[in-house]
Amino acid sequence: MAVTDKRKRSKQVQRGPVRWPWVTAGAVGVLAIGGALLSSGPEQPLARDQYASLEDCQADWGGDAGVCDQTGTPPDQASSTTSSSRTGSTGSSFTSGTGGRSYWYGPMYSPGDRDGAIRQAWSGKGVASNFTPGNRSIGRSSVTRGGFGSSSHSFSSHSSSSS
Amino acid sequence: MRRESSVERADWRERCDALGFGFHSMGGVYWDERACWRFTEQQIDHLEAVTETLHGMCLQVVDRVVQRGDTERFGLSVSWAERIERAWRAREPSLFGRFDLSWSGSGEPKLLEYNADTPTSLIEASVVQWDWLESLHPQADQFNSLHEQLIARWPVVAGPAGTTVHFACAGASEEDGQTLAYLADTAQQAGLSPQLLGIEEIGWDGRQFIGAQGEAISRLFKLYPWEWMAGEAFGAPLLRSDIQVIEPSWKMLLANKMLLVALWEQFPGHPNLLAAGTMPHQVPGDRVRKPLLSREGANVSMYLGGQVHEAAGPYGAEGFVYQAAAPLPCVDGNHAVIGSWIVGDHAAGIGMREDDTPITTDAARFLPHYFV
Repeated sequence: MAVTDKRKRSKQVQRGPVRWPWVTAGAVGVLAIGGALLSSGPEQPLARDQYASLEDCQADWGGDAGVCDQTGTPPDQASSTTSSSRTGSTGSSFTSGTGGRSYWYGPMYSPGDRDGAIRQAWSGKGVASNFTPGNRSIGRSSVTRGGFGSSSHSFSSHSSSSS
Repeated sequence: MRRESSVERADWRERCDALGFGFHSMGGVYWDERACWRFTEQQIDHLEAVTETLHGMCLQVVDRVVQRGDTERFGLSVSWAERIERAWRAREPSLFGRFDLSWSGSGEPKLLEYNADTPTSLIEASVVQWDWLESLHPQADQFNSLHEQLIARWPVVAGPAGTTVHFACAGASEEDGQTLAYLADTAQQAGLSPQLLGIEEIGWDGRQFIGAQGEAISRLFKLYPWEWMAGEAFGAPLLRSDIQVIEPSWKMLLANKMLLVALWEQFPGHPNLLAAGTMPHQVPGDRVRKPLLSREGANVSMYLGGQVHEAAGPYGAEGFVYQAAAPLPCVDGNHAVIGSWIVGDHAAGIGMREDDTPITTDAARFLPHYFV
């Protein structure tokens, strides 16, 4: 049944976006990011270390605010490379390890260049360039990217993915 | 319902840009306010009612397909059919869709297809044509509550204020990127916390999908076809993941042109449907052949009075359906199709597109409308 009010202009409602500067910046970000990732298949996985505490994470990665966070994902059993104090995580939430324990995560890096990534994180902080990075992590997650998007390259000569 | 000439606003490009609609001139002319469409209120009432009727019938089709397990002819594997069934039985909510209708203002609108998964022409139908209305026809009205209805629908689809939703599309498409940004804006105005990223950026850690900063993705709005995702490298993880995807996976049934056959079988002779079948002889006379998964009119063939109109494209290997022809109203060589939006379960407005050919392609132009 038609409801007339649904299409009448409403003086109470702000018609049109009110935060376009934010949106425009977001759109540009999407385009720039996507343009840099026009690969045809999954990329090499990136790794991310898991820590029992913020202090441990900052001790490895230089202590900057924001370098460590709790928004990572717990490493899968199969992809965990160190597990000295970890007894496994089965939950789907990133903050739930065994017993609902919260973990901290360092920056992402190429798995073969952990030392280089840590040295870069420490650069300009008064440490020798050849210092030996520490490792207080209790696990590592491995993230593969680029597993979506390949079809758009096959079909984009005619139209976008939308309809 | 009639097409009228209209004077272009001198600053329409700047106004479009300011509204986040930067692809107004893609292909030369896309946003086209040299003309507009005028409707009567009674006609708008009818379009509104028909849109909600079609939406209801589509949901009944999904229910019957799931109940019967009749998914093979949609080209779905057993695994994906099971996922769709789970999503349907869980009543995973839908945000929106767009029905494309052939109508000249009298008689009954006919459903040409349903863009149920990745509908676009959204910014232009929502905020841009409204801006045009306020500029040129401030005393008239417009069938357009898209913006408000999207904001109202988001909490139903994604959760309460503060919930994070990731928004992804193919990063190289300007049209998709800006449409995605607009949708993210409506989500933010609904109190959600949107995170934009390219579909290529999404990661998988063996357990969950991962965002650009390493964060878990639990809710994903994707402006990217379901069938593409299912066939790509992350298709297998997607199949077993518990991530919430918007649109839900059961929309795969509605975005597939086999829907047209299923609708006709379930509601034969309905005044808003066209005869459809999987074989040409099931649709005698003028008809249209459509690939199951094509978009933007690609690979559609129209057989009209002994003439054949065809649109190029990469689709067709997945199979075809046949649908009785319902030629679009044509004024001065402009073939006009009505895109009628549904948000949740409510009709939310229309957008008019015109093409130089009887088949509406990605070269079609968008024209504003009003009603009195």
